[in-house]
Amino acid sequence: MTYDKHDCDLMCERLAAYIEGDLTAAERAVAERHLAECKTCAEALVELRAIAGEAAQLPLLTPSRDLWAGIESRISTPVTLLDSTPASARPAWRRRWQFAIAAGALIAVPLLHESVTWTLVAGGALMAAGVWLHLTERHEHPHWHGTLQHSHPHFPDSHHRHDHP
Amino acid sequence: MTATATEVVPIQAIDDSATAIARAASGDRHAFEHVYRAHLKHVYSLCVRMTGDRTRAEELTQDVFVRAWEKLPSFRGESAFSTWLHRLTVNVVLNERRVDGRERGRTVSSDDDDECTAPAASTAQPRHAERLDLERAIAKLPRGARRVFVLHDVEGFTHEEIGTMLGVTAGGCKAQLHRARLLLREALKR
Repeated sequence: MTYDKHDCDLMCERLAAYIEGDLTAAERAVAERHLAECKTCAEALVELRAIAGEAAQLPLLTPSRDLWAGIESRISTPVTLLDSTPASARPAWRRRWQFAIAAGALIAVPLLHESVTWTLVAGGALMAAGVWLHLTERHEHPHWHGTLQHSHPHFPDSHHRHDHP
Repeated sequence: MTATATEVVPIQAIDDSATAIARAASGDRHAFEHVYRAHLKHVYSLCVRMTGDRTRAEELTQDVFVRAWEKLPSFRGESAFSTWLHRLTVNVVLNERRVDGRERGRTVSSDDDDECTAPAASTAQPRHAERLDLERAIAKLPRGARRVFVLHDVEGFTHEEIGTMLGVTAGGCKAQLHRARLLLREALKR
């Protein structure tokens, strides 16, 4: 694309592409002819490149205080999981109950003369999973009860009966 | 991540940064402090220049190193550790801005209504020409232009890398960079 050699506005638009090296060879040649003749655009190019150059040389900054203490306290704080109860801490009755279910299943199959099929095994596994979920689920979320509305009459006991004037 | 230092080695004895990184990744907080001190200024500088706020930058710097501690075991050495840490810094800063933007009901991509707060400086444009140093001028840039300028001209990321980080095209990144440079040129004129 060619433009009037004195069209600085167009040159300004092309300046970013010129700096980035995104112009075609022909476009670059036109731009360089303009820059060679236009002092204003040439100065702008020099200043923009100088800003980029200065930015790359900016010194590193230092915080106003030592930040390590705050960091160390955060990485030292142990993370407590919501349900971190180890298996050994679970009540013994729960472990015995789970064992009893498994033992009962193993005994019931031969006693009832049932053949062990894949269907039976799958059904048993699903039942075991359901029992396990039931025994291990824990609900500790707080909940509030709303005001109860009820219409049945109240009959206070003899101690609480009193006449109103 | 459970951090237990089974062996305490004085910082002075840790000369090899790669050794310090490896020990820190295995839970040695002493070694991690060495890593922290070796990279503190670069991380803090990046936070200051991307946010334009030194106080906030100190908080973000702490966030960066806490996150680095958590993520260190996943560092595979495919890139230089400084590159990995700087990318993590950019992510922490950008995520902080996204959360902050949602809480304020603003969109992240909005740039026209951005208000950047220069450290200990008025946000009003100077009526008379006065010479601002480049650091203060950068802090006064609109957020989007400031991010791109800092990441490209200060930190040396490519347009493609910046585009990936910010979710913009390389062309959009170049336009923002040119805009930032023009604004800085105006701000630095005598």
